[in-house]
Amino acid sequence: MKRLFDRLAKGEEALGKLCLAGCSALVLVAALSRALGAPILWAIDVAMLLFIWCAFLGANAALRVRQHIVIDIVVRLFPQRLQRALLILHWTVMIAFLLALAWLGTQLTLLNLERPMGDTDIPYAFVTAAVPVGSLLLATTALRQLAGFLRDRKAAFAAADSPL
Amino acid sequence: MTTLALAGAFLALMFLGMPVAFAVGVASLGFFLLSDTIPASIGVQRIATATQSFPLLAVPLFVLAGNLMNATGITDRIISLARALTGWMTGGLAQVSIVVSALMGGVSGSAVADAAMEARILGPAMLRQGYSRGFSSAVIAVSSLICATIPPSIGLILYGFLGNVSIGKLFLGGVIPGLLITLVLMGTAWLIARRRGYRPDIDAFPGWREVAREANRSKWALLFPVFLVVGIRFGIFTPSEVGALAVAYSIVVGVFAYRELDWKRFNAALRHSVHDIGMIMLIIMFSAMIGYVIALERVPQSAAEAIVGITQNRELLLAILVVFILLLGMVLESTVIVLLLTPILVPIVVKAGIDPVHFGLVMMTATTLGSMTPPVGVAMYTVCGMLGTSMDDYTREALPLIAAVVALIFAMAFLPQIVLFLPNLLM
Repeated sequence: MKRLFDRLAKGEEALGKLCLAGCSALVLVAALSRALGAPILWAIDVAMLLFIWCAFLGANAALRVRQHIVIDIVVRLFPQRLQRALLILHWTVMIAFLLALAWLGTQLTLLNLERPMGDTDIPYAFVTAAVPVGSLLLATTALRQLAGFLRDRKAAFAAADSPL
Repeated sequence: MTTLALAGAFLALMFLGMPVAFAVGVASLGFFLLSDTIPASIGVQRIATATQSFPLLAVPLFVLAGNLMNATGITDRIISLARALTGWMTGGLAQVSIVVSALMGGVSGSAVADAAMEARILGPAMLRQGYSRGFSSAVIAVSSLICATIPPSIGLILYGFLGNVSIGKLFLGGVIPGLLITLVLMGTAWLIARRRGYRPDIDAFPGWREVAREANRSKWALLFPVFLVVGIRFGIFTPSEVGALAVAYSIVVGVFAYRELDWKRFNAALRHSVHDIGMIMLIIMFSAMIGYVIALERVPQSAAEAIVGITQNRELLLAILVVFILLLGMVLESTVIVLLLTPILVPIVVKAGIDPVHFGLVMMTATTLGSMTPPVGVAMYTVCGMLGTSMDDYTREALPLIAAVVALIFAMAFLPQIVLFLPNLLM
């Protein structure tokens, strides 16, 4: 099970990096082709498609190492027991939120199968699909983190206050 | 009314320790699910459409360019240059830290990244030379504000994108304020260092020949903002396109000029960038849902009416807004402030006859300063966490520096020419 998740993380990271590199390369191509008077219109559309995927994959990678910004100034004053209870509550709510997004996002994607994006024939659904897929990935990561908090008392406080 | 409930839910979740991005998301989705009139699918749609805008592409591209520049060995060269320039002054390392922020400002657009880098490289050296923990942390954190003012600046890209203001003009407008913050902070640090007897880092000024030699070594970093401004100024390229060129530029410099960028470093820069972009974009995407509610509830219009009801005077209006943003900056994260306030405030100031470029620099400087002011500030948390500084020590030592910057923000508000001189001259 753990090996499966590690593989998933590796694959996601590679994909995220690929999206970002591709996005940069395409904007560069679009800029140069426009400056030379022969604009390649689809390049921008594909760059924006890669961008939303990069954003969700990156968000999940950041969640895995708990890099997302947390304001702990108030919570830090609470007794540890309460802090841990709050943390478990938060991550449960986050998982419910992400699952709701995944469900609503799937419906939205199904509505956009026919609609083309911008100047290309690519269905807009490829863009919106990033929302449900990304939310599911985030929910999986959050679930694993939550399991960690429940299993290990200390995990709840490890690296919790590091913004970077 | 609903907006207030929404804001209340968001603030409660955030201060109870839920990650900021999710606090925004959960509160907004809650609004959509409870509303009878608006389907929740609209909220979800907003998440996707938030990313589908060409100007916003400048954010990931400049994040990547900044991380790549760092991987090319530019950072070390810039620190040597800053040492030669200011290391001989009273409070040498404090001056170096401030000048490094100014020089790095031309390649990086993020205050937090700059603060983290300096806390790692310069922080321990400052402590070794007898600087107090609070003062070292305060100088490093507050001076990172310069980095977010000198172009390129991620905050200004967001402001321009949300407020429909020329990002090129905003970039140009940031140059003089950035240099002024540098001077003001150097002066303040000098006064404090002299009183406490903080020593210079090097014995004497090494001479202009040495400075020129160091400048030559970091010329590719120093030329970058010039190239950036020229590219945008002549309208050859849009800011997003310049972002892509910046990525290509840093790769070429790293591989061919400095020969320090190898596959491993490139890969690491790419990985860091994906993480950074994920963090920034998750807040932006989830905030897009709130943006819809704000527009629906006609918040900008009612806010405008309320504020115009208080005063019609331009200077007074600016002063009120600056105080409001500074106070908000103490308790909210900067990205959130930009995302929520820009669409509300830009129409108000334009109606009052204030140039949105002028206001943008005033607002962004005040907002970014929020990242250095207690009790909530990400740049402050980062530096204090890395150097092991208590918030009390930080607060006491940061106060004079923050006060100096606040004075400068008011000067910028009342003397628009500080901001507008370069954009008007060049564009």
